[in-house]
Amino acid sequence: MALDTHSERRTETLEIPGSDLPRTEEMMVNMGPQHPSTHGVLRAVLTLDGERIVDVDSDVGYLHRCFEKICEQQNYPQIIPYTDRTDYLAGMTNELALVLTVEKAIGLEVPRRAQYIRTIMAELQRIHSHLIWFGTFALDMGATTPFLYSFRERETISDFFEEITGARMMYNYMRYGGVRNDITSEWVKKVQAFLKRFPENLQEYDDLFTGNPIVHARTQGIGKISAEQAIAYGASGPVLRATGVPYDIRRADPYLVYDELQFDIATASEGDVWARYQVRMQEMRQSVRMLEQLLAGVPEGEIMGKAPRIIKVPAGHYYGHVDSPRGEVGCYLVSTGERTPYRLHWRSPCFVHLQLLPLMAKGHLMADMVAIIGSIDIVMGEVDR
Amino acid sequence: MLVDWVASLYQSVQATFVAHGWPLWVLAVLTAVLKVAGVLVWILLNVLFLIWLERKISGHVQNRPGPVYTGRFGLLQTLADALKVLLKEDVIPAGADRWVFVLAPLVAFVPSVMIWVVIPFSRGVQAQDLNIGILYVAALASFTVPSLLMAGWSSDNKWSLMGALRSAAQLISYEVPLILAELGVVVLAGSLRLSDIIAAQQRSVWFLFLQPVGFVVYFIAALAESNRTPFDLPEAESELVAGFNTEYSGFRWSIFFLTEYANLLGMASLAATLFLGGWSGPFLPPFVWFVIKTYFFVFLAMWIRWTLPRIRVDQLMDLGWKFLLPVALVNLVVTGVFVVL
Amino acid sequence: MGVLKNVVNSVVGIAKGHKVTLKEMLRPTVTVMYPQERLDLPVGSRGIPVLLSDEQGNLLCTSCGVCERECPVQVIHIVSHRGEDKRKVLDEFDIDMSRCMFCGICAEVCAFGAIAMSDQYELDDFEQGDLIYHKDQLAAIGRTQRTPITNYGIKTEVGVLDQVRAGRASAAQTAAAPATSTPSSEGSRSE
Ligand code: SF4
Ligand code: SF4
Repeated sequence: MALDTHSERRTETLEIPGSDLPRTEEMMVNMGPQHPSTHGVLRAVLTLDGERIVDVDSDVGYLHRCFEKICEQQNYPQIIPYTDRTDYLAGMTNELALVLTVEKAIGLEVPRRAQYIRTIMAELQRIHSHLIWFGTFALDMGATTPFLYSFRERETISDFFEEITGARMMYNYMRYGGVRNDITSEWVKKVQAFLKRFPENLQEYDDLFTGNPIVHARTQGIGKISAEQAIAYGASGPVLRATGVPYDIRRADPYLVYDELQFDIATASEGDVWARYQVRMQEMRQSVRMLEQLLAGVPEGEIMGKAPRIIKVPAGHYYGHVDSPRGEVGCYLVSTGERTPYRLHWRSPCFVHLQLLPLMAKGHLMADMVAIIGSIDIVMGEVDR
Repeated sequence: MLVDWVASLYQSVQATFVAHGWPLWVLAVLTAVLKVAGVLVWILLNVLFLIWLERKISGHVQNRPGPVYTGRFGLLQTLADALKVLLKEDVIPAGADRWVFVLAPLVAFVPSVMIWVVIPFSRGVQAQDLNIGILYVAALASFTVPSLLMAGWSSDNKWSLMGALRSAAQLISYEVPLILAELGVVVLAGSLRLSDIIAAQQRSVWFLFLQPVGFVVYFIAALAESNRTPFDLPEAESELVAGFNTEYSGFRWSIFFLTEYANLLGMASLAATLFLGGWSGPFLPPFVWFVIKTYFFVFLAMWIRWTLPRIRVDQLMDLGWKFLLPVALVNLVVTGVFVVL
Repeated sequence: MGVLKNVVNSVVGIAKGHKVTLKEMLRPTVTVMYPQERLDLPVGSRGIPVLLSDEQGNLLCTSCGVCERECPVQVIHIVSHRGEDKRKVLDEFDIDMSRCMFCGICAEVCAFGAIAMSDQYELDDFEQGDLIYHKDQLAAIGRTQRTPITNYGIKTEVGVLDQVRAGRASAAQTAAAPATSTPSSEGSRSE
């Protein structure tokens, strides 16, 4: 499937639910940019027929901060803190996307200890980010309590991050050739203790929310997309995996030490909100599993490789990608050999997934819209950059 | 006892009136005003407490302490909030239908107070023991629909309108099972009068045991009627911003808020009266029993609110018409057959 | 039968949720009542960057200007001149905290360990200009260093930021006093 035009997109939608119902006068509603559940500043222009969604047009750009343009004026170390601020809920994986690309470009060796630490951070970040997703998703569905529970656990992970990186969200932790600070054995013990009790918390979430019949009724069969559609639109991460495609960059193009780890790629087959929900819940469990292996085997050694004092990327085009909690974060770097990139393009999964919104939402109810937006785990900072 | 004292006081005042030849309607008006004042004070005090309780319960459910700073255990927090809300600017949107906009909160609030006319607080303590008590309550409950419609329509806001339409659909559909569930009790008691229903329960057992299905239907429908999670669709925050009261602020909004809690309280006390024998109970004074039972239901409603997610509008309709209504009907028929036999 | 099974499953699912909330309701709360209680920040937590001094109280900074150049948002402003012995003398060292993003790069690039991230983060002020911290203020906070530099960060005395702020107010007052002769506490706060 080549580039989709808008009209093509309309016709290829799956069978639209409720299309056999009588039509009434259509109403245009602006959902956002100030709305409790558009996760920031998404503006979705809804065409409604009663409560049924006839069309969705998402309008982005309210959080545009010229990230890519700013990067053209910054030298490479200075870009790292900016990447934290694209997808502000998963700073670690964003930094990874950048540093891996640059390291690949200049051919830097990264010590094994640093690689382990990076992987640990990336997986902690995944749990961290999925916990927010879980809380806000529950909030979107009208349940306030799971939000507070998930934030309780998330705080603990934030504490872990703060202890090592010095910050709770904007880490600025990855360095070209390694990481900024070393982890300590007490820290490892603390994280291990947390991982021991975290499955209990997950069980609690399951009892409270996953097993709730209202949740089932509101998520199953909602916002369905097929695997072909997901691939055609370039979906990645949990959105793609929820359609039954076991594509995970951690497996397909292993980076760091993922190829040494044992984990299952969480998938579900239905491609609806419920499937995405399940994939993320499973991913948290898989992350716990990975972290247990990682923490048990952190090798001794340096945390910084032999990086040049001034980073200059040889002229050329480079692409690096990682599997962030939201999907494939890609960093496309064009260098002319200067200390600053000539052009840096950021492939953000949320931006891609947002294009699936009309496909998912058409024919469903207003209330489903909220569930759908929640299920693609949108972070506007990343969409607008 | 207070009740006896009030009764004797009333008698002596009445005697004075008769002795002096004063017109008795003055006394009637006077007592009516006093009763209304009493009910209002009761509602306001309770709502203040309820809001505090809700915040405390939600807080503790979510591992947080809730309000703590204002007064002991934050008990005065609601008062402070009320003050804040009253001092706020009174905003009426430019496109709003002024009169309807202003009237809507009142239309919502008044019926929620009027319900208390027939609720028996204790033996003989009841503003008016109407012989059509339940019918009266049911009639008042249907007042909520126009008020929310008014609020939603007049706000000139699409979210409000959507909230209003949702609420109209919701309230109308849940009134039917609600009344059918109440009818089960009425059939058992053989009277629409609330005091008779309590008396009937004193003779046998609480109707909760004779009408378990009716009770469940009543409770679900009552939650829906008082717009509480999982049925808080008219104001579904994450979907409709704030639903029908999106454009309301300041004291107009606070009246809606007050109404919500007054309705909750009304629903709970009615449930206590219909299914738990109202004020009757051993050892403790009747009024205490009434409060305990009412607050039991209040707690239940709050507990549910902080546990469950929100149901979707079509599922709400399905639940109402396809599940609760048949169940309530069957329950009523079975009860009727049982009583006739 | 299917309907009945459905109902039973639903009830069980809902009841489980209620069990969880009831259990949590009876558990102690996890809230930290912030202004009264404070969490102990780990060393290395990145608050505002401050200037460090040696034992004699002289600033370690050599005015090399690396941090100024490397700061991604360019909020460090350094003015220096050559002293008699050809060594650079630091005249001004301002950090605009309203734009600093606490990335810690300045502390990392300083070859002399002259700048470190402190644990001070409560930067509220009434004037935007007050958020530009000057050399003496940064040094005053840095002198209360309690821990060795760990992860480019140090811990400082609790409340030192308030003292610095109070000092600024009184300094501004004394500066303003001769000119206006009636020092007003609020008006003299702006620069
Ligand atoms: S603080 Fe360090 S890097 Fe900055 S000017 Fe002083 S010596 Fe140079
Ligand atoms: S912490 Fe970062 S933004 Fe702040 S002054 Fe230092 S380098 Fe600049």
